[in-house]
Amino acid sequence: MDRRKFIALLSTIAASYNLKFPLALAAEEPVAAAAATTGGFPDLIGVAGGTPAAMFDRAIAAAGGIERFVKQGQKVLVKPNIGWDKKPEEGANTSPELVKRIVELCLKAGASEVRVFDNTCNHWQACYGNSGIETAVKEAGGKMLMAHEESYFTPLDVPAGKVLKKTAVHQAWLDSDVIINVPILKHHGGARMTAAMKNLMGVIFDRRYYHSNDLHQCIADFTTIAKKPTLNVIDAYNVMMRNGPRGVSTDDLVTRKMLLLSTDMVAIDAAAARILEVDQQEVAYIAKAAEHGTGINTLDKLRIERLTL
Amino acid sequence: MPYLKRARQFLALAVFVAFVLIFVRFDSFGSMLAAVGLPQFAPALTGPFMWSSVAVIVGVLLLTAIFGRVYCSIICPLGLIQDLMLRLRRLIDRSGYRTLPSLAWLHAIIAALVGGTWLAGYMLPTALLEPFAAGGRILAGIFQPFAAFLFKYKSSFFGDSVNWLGMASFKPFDATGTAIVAGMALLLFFLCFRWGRVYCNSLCPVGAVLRLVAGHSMVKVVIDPEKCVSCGVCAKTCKAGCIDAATKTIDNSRCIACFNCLDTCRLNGLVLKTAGNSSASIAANFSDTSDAAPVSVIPASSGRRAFVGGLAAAAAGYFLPVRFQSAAAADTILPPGAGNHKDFSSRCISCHLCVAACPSSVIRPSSPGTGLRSLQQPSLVFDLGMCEQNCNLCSQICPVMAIKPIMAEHKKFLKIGEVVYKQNLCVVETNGTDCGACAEHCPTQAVRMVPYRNNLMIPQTDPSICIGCGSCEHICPVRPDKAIIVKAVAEQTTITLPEQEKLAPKAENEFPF
Repeated sequence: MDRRKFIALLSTIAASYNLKFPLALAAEEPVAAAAATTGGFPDLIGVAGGTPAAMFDRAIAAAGGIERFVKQGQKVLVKPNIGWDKKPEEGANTSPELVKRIVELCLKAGASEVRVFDNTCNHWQACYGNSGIETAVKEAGGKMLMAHEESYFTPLDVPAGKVLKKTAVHQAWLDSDVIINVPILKHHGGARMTAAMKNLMGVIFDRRYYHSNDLHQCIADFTTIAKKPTLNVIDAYNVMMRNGPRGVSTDDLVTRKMLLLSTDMVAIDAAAARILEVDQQEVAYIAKAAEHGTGINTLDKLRIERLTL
Repeated sequence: MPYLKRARQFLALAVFVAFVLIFVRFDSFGSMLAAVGLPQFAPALTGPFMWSSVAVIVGVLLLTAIFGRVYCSIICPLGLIQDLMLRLRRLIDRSGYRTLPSLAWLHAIIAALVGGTWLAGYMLPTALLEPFAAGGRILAGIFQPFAAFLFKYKSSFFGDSVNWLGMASFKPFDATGTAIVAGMALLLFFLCFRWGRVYCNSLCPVGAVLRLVAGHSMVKVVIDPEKCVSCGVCAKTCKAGCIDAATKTIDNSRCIACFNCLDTCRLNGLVLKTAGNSSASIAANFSDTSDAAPVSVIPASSGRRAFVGGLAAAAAGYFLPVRFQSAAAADTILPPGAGNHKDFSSRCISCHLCVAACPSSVIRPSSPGTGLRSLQQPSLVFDLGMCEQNCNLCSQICPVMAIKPIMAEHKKFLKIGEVVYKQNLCVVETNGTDCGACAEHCPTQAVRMVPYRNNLMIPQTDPSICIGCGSCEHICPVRPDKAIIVKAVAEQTTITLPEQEKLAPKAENEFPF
């Protein structure tokens, strides 16, 4: 190889390396306007009495159909809770059946790609496998992403944050057009409750920063970033009422057969607290996020649709 | 007969690649261990009695009795690493190898000393010199962290193309562990550079056993004294330094059956002697020469000296370590299934297979501070992860069963350490904010959150149901000293979780909002 060819090769490599950068910048703009305008649709939808997938079908129909949120050719990120090396029936991770249904519907709506990940607490391969979510996502035609190393995360400023001024968020959060947040409702030893907003601790890298710098405030601060979930779906079929978020045994679960859906992650968490039977005041991040203007935590002010299968 | 050397090289390369893959990415390639790990001589010999181990020992001895020390050229991981080092040597120095003295007496004494200490349950000499363990440590301490470094920092560059190698996981260079291993690897490289495979013929305990058999193997390379002109070309290719061109003899007990020499002689003076052709032409040739005795190169007096020296060394090895027994460190957390420090430290050969395989990277070489007795033996550190409750991998793969096999269901309740909570360091106490990371991760709720002042929740521990998995210590955000840690226990036991009261079922279809 002569010198000219060598230099050409070097510059090609350098160029391809930088290629990602402008794309990442562009993706940081707020997501689809669909999230901002509810149109004639309810603010919060609760469904009870069916399987998680059936309840989701009903909820999304009441919300205007998946097409309201997912447009042809868009890249979708589905973010379930896959935090623990637990089986589906142990109620520590989002129902794989629900995740599968969401991925299927997104692809049916014309999504170019549906990706799924969680920055897990237990070993990620064990979590992805034993939760049943990896299999479910692959069967539905989606793709699992790795999220266990810092290199998958991109630094992000949180200008409106009171305590959390900067963090690092998964690259897929930044380069997806649509984000569907699918937590499972559980008791939580530290944060009191884990649902929609707490689930977003799985898209950032350094969780210890949250824990040592006012957990509630950090959870609320993260909700102020420009790019928010397009849609939040809470799995409340089996609800872990104590010993959460990991759970000791299935004795910690109570079957509620419920599912919540909202574009407002504060409102949906306020409703979830009722199901978990904890005082909203205990779950301090809900009020803090409402203060930030992320959403509405007063259920009386919301248009709620309650559906039973 | 170039095909012999080629076949040896091909097999050796296959085995070496398998070893590298197993130690670098156990998650993807661990199953290959059954093929290349099983025939390892020293683990079979030092492990607990099993018929499969007997089969391995007899099998390797038979193999050696028939073909010579092919074990050292194809199966032994440290032999393969040395061959790699010798390749490097050839880049620097092409002058070839020197003929070496037999050193049988030294080899016997060292091997006997190692054997004696092994019998006494003092594993350090075995761990240092036994080739499977020494090879494993180089693979786990240098190859694996190097590969992890590439995956971790270059994953964006390699992209999905590294997926065929398994997913990148965090296996860092362990400062002291890697330094010790690197030091020993450098020492080995020095030995290789100066004297070729001298380790195999003076320090290696497995080599010492095999050379007793190899001297009388059915297939071996011999010199035809009629054709040999003592030019010494073949000797220069001999990694073991066992060809003496001047006396036209080969010490087959030291020959590691690499077959490099076979094709170097233009006069066809080197012959592969087999049981079939020995009685005919070649033996006839040998009988004509009175000055060379190819088979019994070790003089009888040397053999006697080696035997007496070996006996003395074995006795010394057996009785001397009693002085070190009390130094057994008891403050390290052992892998699940290890039992207690005494049992574990007298069985573990420090091959670091568990270190390489641990998916959470919590099994590490013990720091030198824990004493000579457990030097290089693994123990648990929770800075990078926790001992996963559902994982029993290390207990399933330990080649010497120093980590005894435990069932996954049993592992969930096996207590390997015990929690110590320091409230004065805890975030809830010092910052007055909620945290709960420890309780969140605790699989048995041996740490749980209880009401505290100002509507806060604070950790409360119940050591009796703690399994010592390190989840709490791993996730605790307090630095530099964590507010919750796991301390060692003297004996691994099983905990019983208390019965929990049943939760009242809830009416369905009633929205609480």
